[in-house]
Amino acid sequence: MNNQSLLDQWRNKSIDQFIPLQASLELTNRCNERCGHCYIPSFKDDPAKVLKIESWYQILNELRSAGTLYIILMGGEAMLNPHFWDIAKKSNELGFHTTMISNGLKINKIEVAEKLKSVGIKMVTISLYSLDPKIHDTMTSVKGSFQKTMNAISYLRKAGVKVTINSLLTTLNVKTIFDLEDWCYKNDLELKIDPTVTSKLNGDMAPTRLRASKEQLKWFYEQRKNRWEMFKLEPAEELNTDYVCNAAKGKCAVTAYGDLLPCIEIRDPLGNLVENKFSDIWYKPEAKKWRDIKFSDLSKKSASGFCEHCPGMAKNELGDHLQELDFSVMLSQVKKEVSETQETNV
Amino acid sequence: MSLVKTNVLKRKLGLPWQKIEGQALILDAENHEAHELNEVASIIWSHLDGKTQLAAIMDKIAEEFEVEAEELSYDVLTVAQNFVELELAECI
Repeated sequence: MNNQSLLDQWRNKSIDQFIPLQASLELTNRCNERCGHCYIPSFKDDPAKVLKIESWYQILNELRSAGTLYIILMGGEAMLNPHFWDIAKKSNELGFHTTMISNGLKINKIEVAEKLKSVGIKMVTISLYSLDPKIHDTMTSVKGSFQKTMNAISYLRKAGVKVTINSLLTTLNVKTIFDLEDWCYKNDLELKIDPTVTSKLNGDMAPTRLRASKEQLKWFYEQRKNRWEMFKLEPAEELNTDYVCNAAKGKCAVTAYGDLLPCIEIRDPLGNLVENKFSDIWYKPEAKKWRDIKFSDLSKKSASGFCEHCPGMAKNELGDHLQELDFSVMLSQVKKEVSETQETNV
Repeated sequence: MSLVKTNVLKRKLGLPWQKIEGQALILDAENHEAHELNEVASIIWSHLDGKTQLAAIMDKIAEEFEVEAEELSYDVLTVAQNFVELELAECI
C-alpha cells in the first residue's frame, strides 16, 4: 500500500468536498514567552469569553461528525489552558490524530512528557529558533528559555513522543539557521523553516520588521539548495491549476473563544461554535468567499509556480485578501531566481 | 485464536481514524501505516466499541444490505480477525 498516496487521496477528497480534515484549536491566547514575531496582540484571555471544558468537548464532537481526522492543539501556549489535559485526552479518545505546537516550557520534567504520551499526543512540534541561547532567548524575550526548550525536547524523546521542530526564519536567526539544521539532522528531528513573519492580528506591523531581507532569503535558499539535494526548488504543481490554499476547504481553526475560522491565518469568523452548530456555519456564504479564491484572481505579481500568497495575511495587512503582499512577491521571486540558478548549474 | 460470532472486539485506544462517505481511514502511526477500509469493513470497524457482539454487527450489515446475516458470517469474522492480527483491535 502506498500510504503517501492514500493520505494524499484523502487530503484531495477533503479539499474537493470541503471536509475539514485538519482543525487547529487555539486553546488559549496566554503564553509564557513574549516572541517579538508573534501574531497574537495580547497574551491574555477574556474570562467572559474563554470556553468551558464542556464547550471544547462539544466542539470536538462536532468536528468528529464533520469528518476531521487531525487535531492540532496550539495557542498562545496550549498547555496554559487549564483544561489542556482533558481536551487532549478527549481528542484522543474520540479517534483524532492529536498533535500539539508548544514552546516546551511547561514540559519541564520527564513525567510531563510521559503524561503527554499517555493521553495520546502523537507528536509535539517545538518552536526552536537557534542553537545559540542568546539568539533564541532574544527572540522569545525569556531568559533561559533556550535551555528549557532543549530540556523539553530531550524529555519528549525519552518518553517516546515524536518531536518535530519549527523555526521561523528572521533577520535575527538567519546566520545560525544551518547550525540548527545540522543539529536536527544529526538528531533525526524533522525541521520546518518558515520565512513568513506575519503582522499582529490587530494590524500592528511590528513583527514584520523582523522579516529576513531579500539578500538574506536568497542566501538561505542558495545555501540550502547547495547543502541538500532534496531542497532543490521546483515550481509547485498545484499552481498549474487555480489552487491557492486550503482555507475553509480541507482545514479550519477554532479560537480560544470558540470562533470558527477558515484557517488560523484568516481571522474573519464564520460563526461561533458555542452559539451555532458547526454544520450550520461551515457552509455559510461567508465561507464561499475563501473557498472561491483562485490564482487567476490575484494580481499575479508573484513569480509563476512560486506563489507565496496567503489570503489571511493579505486581508490582515492590506485589507484585501486578493492583493499580494510585497514580502510574498519578493519571496516568490527569490525562490524562482534560486531555482533558475540551479537549472543553469545543471 | 479464531473468532466466533459471540466475540466482542474493541478498537485499540488511541488509534486515529475517521470515516468519510462510508469509508474509514485508520492511521497506525506506530507502524507508519495507513489502512483504508471498504464500505463493509468500515461498518464493522465503527461498531467495534467493546460492547457489540460480532453477531449483532452481522445483523446490522444484513439489514443494511438486505441479505441474510448467516451469509455474512465468514466475511465479518475474517475482517474482524484481520483487525486483531494487525493489532488494530483487541478481543475483550
